[in-house]
Parts: sequence; structure tokens; C-alpha cells
Amino acid sequence: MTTNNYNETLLIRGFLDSAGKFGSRPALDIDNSQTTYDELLLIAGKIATLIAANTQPSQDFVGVLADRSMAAYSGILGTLLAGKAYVPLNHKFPTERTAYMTGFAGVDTYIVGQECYEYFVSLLSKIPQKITAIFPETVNLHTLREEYPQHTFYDSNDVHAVQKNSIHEGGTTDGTAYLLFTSGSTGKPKAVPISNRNATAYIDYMFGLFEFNHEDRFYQASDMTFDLSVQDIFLCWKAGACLCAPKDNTLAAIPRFIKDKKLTVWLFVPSASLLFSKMRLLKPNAFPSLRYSMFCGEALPETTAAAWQAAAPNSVVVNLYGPTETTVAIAHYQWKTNKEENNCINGIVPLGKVFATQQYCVVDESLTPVEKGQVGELCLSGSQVCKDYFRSSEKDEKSFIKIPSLSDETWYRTGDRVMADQSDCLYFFGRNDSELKIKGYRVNLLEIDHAIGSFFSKAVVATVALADRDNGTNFMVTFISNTDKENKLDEVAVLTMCKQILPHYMLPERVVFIDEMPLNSNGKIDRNALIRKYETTCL
Amino acid sequence: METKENEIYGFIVTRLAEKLNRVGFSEKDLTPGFNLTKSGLLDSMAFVNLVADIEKNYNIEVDFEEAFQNPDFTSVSGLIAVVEKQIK
Repeated sequence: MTTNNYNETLLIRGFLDSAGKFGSRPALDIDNSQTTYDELLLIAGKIATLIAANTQPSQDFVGVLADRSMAAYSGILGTLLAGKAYVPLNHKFPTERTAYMTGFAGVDTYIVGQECYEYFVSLLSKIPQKITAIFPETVNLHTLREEYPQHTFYDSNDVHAVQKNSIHEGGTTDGTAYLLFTSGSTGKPKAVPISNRNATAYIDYMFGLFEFNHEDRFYQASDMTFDLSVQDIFLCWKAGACLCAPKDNTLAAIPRFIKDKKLTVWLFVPSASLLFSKMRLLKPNAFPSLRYSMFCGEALPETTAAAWQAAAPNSVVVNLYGPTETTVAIAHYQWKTNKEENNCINGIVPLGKVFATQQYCVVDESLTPVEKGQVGELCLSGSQVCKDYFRSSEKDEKSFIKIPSLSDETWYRTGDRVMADQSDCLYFFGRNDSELKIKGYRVNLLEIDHAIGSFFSKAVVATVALADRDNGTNFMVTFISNTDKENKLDEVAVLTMCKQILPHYMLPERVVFIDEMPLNSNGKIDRNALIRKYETTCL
Repeated sequence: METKENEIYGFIVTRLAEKLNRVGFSEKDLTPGFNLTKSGLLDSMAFVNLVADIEKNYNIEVDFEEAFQNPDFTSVSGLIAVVEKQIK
């Protein structure tokens, strides 16, 4: 294998360095089958060769449609080795959404896992242009080849038969490493390009902050379309550790998996532990193997942090905070074992300090920085912050801004309301706008309104979020005021149609038809009135 | 079906009736082999909430960790079997 210029600011670097040091150690443990660093690099190199041979140099993106399989991990490594950026695709998403994502990014090369074969076949009917698809684990592609002669397919034999294994180790510091889609207020998801510089700034900082080593066992908990997976995968490989992926990733199966695999590093959304606690699995010392228990993706209640600390007494409990645009996480708070020492506000664990390598400021509505102790909107800047959305529209200028009183840096407006104390520790005070977290996923209510509004010609649609009385998790209810008498869609029909175009976490729990949409004094839809209406009449 | 099974089945149907209606399933869909989570009817949290209600009703405690070892636990018949075992 030939590698040229050593560039430490490539996301692939951590894996390659570990492969050099720990080649015969396991890099992957999928469903009780282990793969060493050497074996994984070999396959990734072959995939990289096929990608390079089939993709135009001007084409930056490769779609990876796979779920916690050998194809998934060798696919993203192969993509990076070929100097391309990976676009994670999710077989749990409606094919319409996936087709939108790949169309938007202009993807014409795919890596497909066996577990996503059927999904890929249904996606193919929505792809107009000629494509190349590589199936690292699928033996027989006769049917596909016969039905779609215009496309190029490589099966597992073709992959293994690749002899030339020259790794370009392409990719540049400022080139994109991965492209993720987040919920957008314009009704279409926004594409966030994270560069190699952004990603390595994050991984390197985390690696320095904590003490990971090659004997660690990381849990690959999050879907690849969720950026917590970037930490699972690349921090693990940076450490030369073993990435453990469960075959059955239903939430309920997680506690057993942590125990069976003696996992040492866990990162997930806080709401999962509500479920474990309901299942009586969050008992004291339930997870003695864990060394690090990390939470990210939504506000962390202090009760969850305390319960987890008791269940995983040998672990450091860490709250991470960061929008996708600033690369996984950009602030951290280490939970203190003595619950009272943690200065929680409203029962929420602090977001903690912004990484020392990055910058923050808290501003008011006119973008003027506020004093410490004042609540305002958090803005972030630095090597982890992406420059702009991919193919951004004018509306996105509202997200990436200049702050007149500060340097010429570009700042990302998070939409999160925070307060900084005298020691620069940040405290969370909720969202600025209509975005919120549902099961750890960022959801923009306006995007749901937009999608459901498209089913009607004359209707006002407003989605509100409510907290479940029993467990505090968020759920959504969509109100529709429909004045088109010809359109007789009901709740069941609307929910069924939603499933065709929205991912599962964006589906409202209920759809309620009302005669008139309540408006506030500014003439805006009075969402608080809708919430009251739901609580008084629908529960 | 034995009476106990029927009774538990009845409890599940009543408990889920409104939800079934709302998302376009019917009581007839709740066959023994019907999987409550894989069908998309319930997510993990909703399923565990259902089990919690059954526990309360029958004054039992389900060993979730053991139960989830069996992929069939989330099917109608699998759930009934686990509950029935606890009652006895």
C-alpha cells in the first residue's frame, strides 16, 4: 500500500495511525464477529480503488447506505481513502427523503450494505442518472444487473478481486469529510458539510481531553445519519480501540449489550435512560465496565446524570453539547459525583465550557454581546465550525453571521439560549426558535407544518411540541384548520401520508382538525393557545 | 386460547384500541404473530409503557432484560407468554 504526503488533518488519519500500531487488534466487533485493523484497511483500500476508478475527480460525495455492518464501516473508510466525503444514508428514512438528499448532493456512487438491499432497490426507481453501486457483502447481483443494465454494480467477489490497492489518501484539509442533513426552516433539510479540518479539530480535542486507549470498547450507538456516530467511530479508531455494533439496535436491547460486550465508552441521547429506568435496568452498579458515560443531543436532566452515575459508578459522566454545524460537540461538562456540587439550573445539567480551541459569545437580538450572567443566544466560531451550508440559499445567511463588535470571524448562530457564568461555564435556557429535540433528533416544527400543508390547498397548519406528563419526553401534535370542503383527509390519512415523506422522529403523535386557528395579538399563530387546547380537550 | 391468555389479550386490545384506531390499524391486526414494535405501531418507549400498565394491572414485575433476549417478546403472543409466566 502506498501513501503519500502525511496529512494529520484528515479524518482518516486516526484510523491509519492505529492500523500502523495495532494492526492485529480488533477494530470492529459486529454481531460477535471481529475484524482487525489490518483486515478492515485491506477491504477499505479495495473499495477506495473501485470508488476512484468509477467516480469523476470533480465528484466529492459517495453515499453510504448501510447500517452497522462491515459494508458501513469499510464503506466510509474507503470513501475517505479515495479522498471523497461520505454521505450517510438511512434505510429507516422514507426513500423520498433519501432521494432528495442524494439528488441534492449529486451522489452517483453508492456503497450498499446487504441489510439495505431491498431499500436500495426501491431507491433505484427514484434515481434518474447513471450510478455505480458497490456491495461489499452481497454475493449475487444478477437480478439488479439484468433489470438495470445502465448502472454499474460490484458484488463482494468483485471487491475482493481488486488487486491494485493504491491508496491515494486523497482529501484535503479543507475538503469535506462528511455531509449530514439537518432539519431546516425552509421546509427542506439543510446540508452541513464538515471538513477534515473541522472533524480532526473535534476528534483531537476529545482525545486530549479524556484518556482513551486501545483496550477500550466503544459502543456504536447512533445511526450514521446522526453525528454522534462520528465520535463513536472515529474517536474509537483514533484510540486504536474496538468499535462494537449490535445487530439488534432497538433501545431496549442496549443495557444487555453494554454488559455482554463489557463496553467501556458509551455516548447517547439522555432520553434513552428514561426507558432503561422504566425497565428497572438502571440499578446501582448495573454497568461496572463503563469508563466514560457521555450524553449529547438534548438537555440532560440532573436526575438522569445522577441515576447513570450510580448505575455506572466507575465511569466519568460527561455532558456534551454541540450543533451539527460545529462538529458533534463543542462544549463539555464533567458531572461531579456528589450531586449537590453540580450547579444545575431548572434541573438541567450545565453545558459546561466551550473547548479551549474554539470561541463562543452570547448575544442579544441586535447581535450585541451581553454581560456574563445574562441570557442570550449562543454563537460559536473556530476550527470546528463549518463555513456555510452546502449549496446554501440566502436564508442561511441568518445562521452564519459576522458580529460587528467582534473580529472578522464568521460565527454560527446556534438558536440556543444560554447564560455564561464568571468561569465561562454555559447553562442551557431552551431554544430560540421553533426547533427542538425529539429523541435526540433536531426537528424544526415549521418543516413538519410545511410537509403537512402540502397535502391541502386551503389549510393553515401548526405543529406544537408537548412534554409527556409521565416521562417528560417531547412529542408533537399538528393542528389543521382546513377550509377546502372538497378535501376530506382525516387524521389517519394525514399520518399515513406523513410516513411517506418524513422520517419517523418527525411524525406527529396526533393530528387534530380545528375550525379556526387561534392567533395572537401580532397575528401570528398562537402556539401556546394550541398547547392549552390540546391539554384541555384532547388528553 | 385459554382463559388467562384471553384475558391478557383483552387487556392489550383495550389498552391499545385508541392508538390502533388512530394510526390505521384495527383490532383484527392484533394476531398472535403481530409484532407491536416492528410493525411501527409502538416505539420502544410506548411498548415499555404498555408492559408497565400490564404489570400494574396484574401486580407483577417483568424481567425486561431477560424478556428482551427473546426477539418474540414484542409480538402479541410473546408478550402474553411472558406475562402469563409471571402470573403463575
